[in-house]
Amino acid sequence: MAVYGNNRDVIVLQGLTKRYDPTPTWMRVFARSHITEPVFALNGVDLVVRAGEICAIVGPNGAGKTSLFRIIVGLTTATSGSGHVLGLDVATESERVRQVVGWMPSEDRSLLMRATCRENLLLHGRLQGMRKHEMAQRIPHVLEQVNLIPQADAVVASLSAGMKARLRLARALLPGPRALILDEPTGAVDPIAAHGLLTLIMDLVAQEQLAVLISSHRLEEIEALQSQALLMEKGRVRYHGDLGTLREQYERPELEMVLVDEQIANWVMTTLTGSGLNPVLDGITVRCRLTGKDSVGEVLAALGPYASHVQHVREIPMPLRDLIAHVYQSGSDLAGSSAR
Amino acid sequence: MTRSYPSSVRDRAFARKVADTISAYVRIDLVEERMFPASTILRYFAVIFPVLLYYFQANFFQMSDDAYTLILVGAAITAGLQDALTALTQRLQFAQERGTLETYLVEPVPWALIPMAMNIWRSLTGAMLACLMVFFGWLLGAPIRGENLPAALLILFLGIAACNAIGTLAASFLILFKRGEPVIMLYSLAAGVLGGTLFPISVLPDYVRWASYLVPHAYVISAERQLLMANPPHDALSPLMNGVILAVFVVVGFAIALYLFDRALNIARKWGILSI
Repeated sequence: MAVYGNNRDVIVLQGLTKRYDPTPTWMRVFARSHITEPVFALNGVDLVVRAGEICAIVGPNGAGKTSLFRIIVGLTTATSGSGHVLGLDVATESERVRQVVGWMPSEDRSLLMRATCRENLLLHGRLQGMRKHEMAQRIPHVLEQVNLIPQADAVVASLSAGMKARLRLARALLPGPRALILDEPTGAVDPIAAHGLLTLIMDLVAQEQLAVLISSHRLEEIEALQSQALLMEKGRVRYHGDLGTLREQYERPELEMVLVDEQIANWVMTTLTGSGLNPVLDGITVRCRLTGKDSVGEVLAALGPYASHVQHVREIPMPLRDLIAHVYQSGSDLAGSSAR
Repeated sequence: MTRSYPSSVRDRAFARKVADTISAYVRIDLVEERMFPASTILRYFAVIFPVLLYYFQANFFQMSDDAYTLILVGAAITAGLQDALTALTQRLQFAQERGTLETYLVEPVPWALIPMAMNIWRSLTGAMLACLMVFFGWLLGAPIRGENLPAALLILFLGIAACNAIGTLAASFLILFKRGEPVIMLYSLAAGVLGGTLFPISVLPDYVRWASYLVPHAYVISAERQLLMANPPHDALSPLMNGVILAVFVVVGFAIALYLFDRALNIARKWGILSI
């Protein structure tokens, strides 16, 4: 195994590009092409994920998240650029890469539904080349890690969606991977079970020093992971860094003020509009989004004598959804998004 | 047990990978047989009906025992080879559409081993079906020469391996074009005629008979009739020569089929259509 850069770097992607071309015309006699013109699923993606680090891949459908994952596990090849896992080239050493990467696909149907949890794991243990005595130790271990010991001999079809998700995680953990790829792991899971699953993943990352790539459309989950984030759009990286930094740089909290009566509220509206803010009036409540340079104190000071008529004031943090939308709307790759 | 397992990438010998892959897929098949026990039992039970069909047909047309046995052996062998020919494409397509194929492909085994391993159990059960048909036929009075059974089984397994090679070719087609049945259905229907399932291929006109030599069924059925029947039809090739040709067919067929399967997978990887 080649030594690769920093020995804590587990997943290293450099200039990764994937262009899907339409299938040749003659092939369409047999099967209709699903694309009609070239599509860049990934366009020069740089990424490093270190041991013990979680990187959340965020983006709308078609952003390139699944293509990124599929290149790492060898299900598709990059058009240009390179990808390495523990120094192993994902293009030329795919079989060895697949030994150190655990992949949790998004759908339950990848499980053998009428087999038991143990039988599902035995199958994959054999394909991983695990000996009988290794599987006898390892299978109970991973089932315990995901809290599925009581269901070890239950048929998969009888499990809840949350349990099936944990079984998919157990399957990914079975070979003792150094990197985990989790493709929408909480997709069909209820919020409470999803929270449990994510807590489990965070514990595993800390305990086993795994490098984790995770995609999810549930932004509150991404925020709860306290992870690195890679914001993608149409195959390009729009931001790469931790969510805390993203908030510090782009946070524009909303200020909510409750006034004593509607007349005062109207006066406040006029004053704030004159100050260049864009307030919204709702009865006796005025809300405005702070710009980067304004603080709450400055806004209140700008109200002059009306400040004493404010009954209640609170700062509402910008939802991650709006923060990310702001990054996308900015139209260019943002600072902090460079490869590390 | 924590992150110390495994400590690094483990290199397995190729023979070990073959054994691991085969045992894993045979295990899946056994689990699947257990998942639907009635379906498994009925599948074996069903073979009695074609035997009865040929038995009563032979009675109605007042066929000789030799004619009945000729049809019985041809039909049993064709039925036995059918799974070896078609099971792989059916399983691959099922796995592709269900989403399990990707989970198999991300395991650290050479992809070329997958079609071989996927086919083994169904090929064995196909051989069992052929044997059951011949056995039922014998119970109904077909004169079968028991002393040649080991040689007959050997020829049957060579035929199954040859059909596995063709099935792997069809699987390559399926990986790229998402449907393998058109190829394999055309081939299996043609093989019934060209292989001489219900008649010796000597009845075929010369301008058709040359094509018989391109399908393994012709060699398997011819050899089996000579080995199992008391009065087999005269045939140009001895069972030994049929066996040699089948062995060559297996080696060449598998070399080409596995190469093409690997190429098809790599093209599908490049185009991003491996499981779409």
